[in-house]
Amino acid sequence: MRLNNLFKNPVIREAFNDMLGPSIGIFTWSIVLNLAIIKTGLAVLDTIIMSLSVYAGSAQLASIPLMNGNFPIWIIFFTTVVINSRFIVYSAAIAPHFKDLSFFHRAILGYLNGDISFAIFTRKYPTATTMASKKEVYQYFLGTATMNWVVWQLGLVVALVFGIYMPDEWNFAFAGTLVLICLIAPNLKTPKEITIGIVSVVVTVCTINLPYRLGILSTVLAAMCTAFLIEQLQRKNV
Amino acid sequence: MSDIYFWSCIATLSFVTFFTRSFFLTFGAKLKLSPSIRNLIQYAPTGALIAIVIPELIFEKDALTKTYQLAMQPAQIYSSISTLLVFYISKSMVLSLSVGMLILTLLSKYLQ
Repeated sequence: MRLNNLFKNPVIREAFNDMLGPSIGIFTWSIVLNLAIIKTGLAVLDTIIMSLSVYAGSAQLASIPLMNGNFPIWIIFFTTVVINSRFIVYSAAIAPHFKDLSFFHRAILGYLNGDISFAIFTRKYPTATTMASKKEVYQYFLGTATMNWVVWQLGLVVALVFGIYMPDEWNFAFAGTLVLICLIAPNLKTPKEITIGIVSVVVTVCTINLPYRLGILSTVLAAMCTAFLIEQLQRKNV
Repeated sequence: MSDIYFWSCIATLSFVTFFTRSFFLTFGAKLKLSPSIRNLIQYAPTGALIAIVIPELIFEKDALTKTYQLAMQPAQIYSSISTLLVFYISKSMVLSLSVGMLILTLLSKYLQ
């Protein structure tokens, strides 16, 4: 499909349109996160390669302290799988729409599935039993996901330019931690979630000196066990 | 960080992106995730992110023993708390980060 025709396609145009507002969020988040990554001392070329191939905001940010500490690869693998585990759930939600496509094709679609584009896509096509044609659903998904990718990489370009002029004393690497805090915040609202948060902090403090940062695994398991126990208790009391 | 180590990490991380995002589209196309497991998985990222953030706030890595020692970092702690509060009120990440970074910069200048 020629680029000209691409923008004439009504479904793809609609997808781009629906992504315009959310793109501001993707763009600023990409600038902040990539600035934080650059300020951890990762070389410019390495940052670009990482952004193009890994394309996973918070997992990228979280893996850098582990990489700088020369932690074993399997720790990095485990930690980022856990941080990305929400995508496993997302992939279950979109899978029914694309089950007739080839393996390679499905893999590419999954790879492009970002947080924001997923939210926009499922708002329009919540279930697989939609009346829309398969082609339309496919084009809409590709439109939102591609725009998510492009806007993210544009943010990286801006971050690289800013990064050169920003003095190191600004302590910008800590912005990465603050971004992670903003990502935790929406998950700490109900009493149940706050209890899970407190347990996680306590377990982190107690397990911090376990070898290979196994404290991360311990904390993840503790958070899930706490959720399970609270649900059991709630069920008994009803 | 050696070159081989760096490239192995990049390859691993790329695979993780691919593996998690395509999981039910490819690898687990025949699997059915039970609702209770799906429900518990949503709490995993909270735990992982807390485990990554906390060491930056109340610990210091001892250069000699390479272990973490409890050491309050007041500038970082106040910066984090204000970021969290502003985020709950405004829901804007850009505003919360600006406030957080401002407080960090001011406190790390004047607290010493």
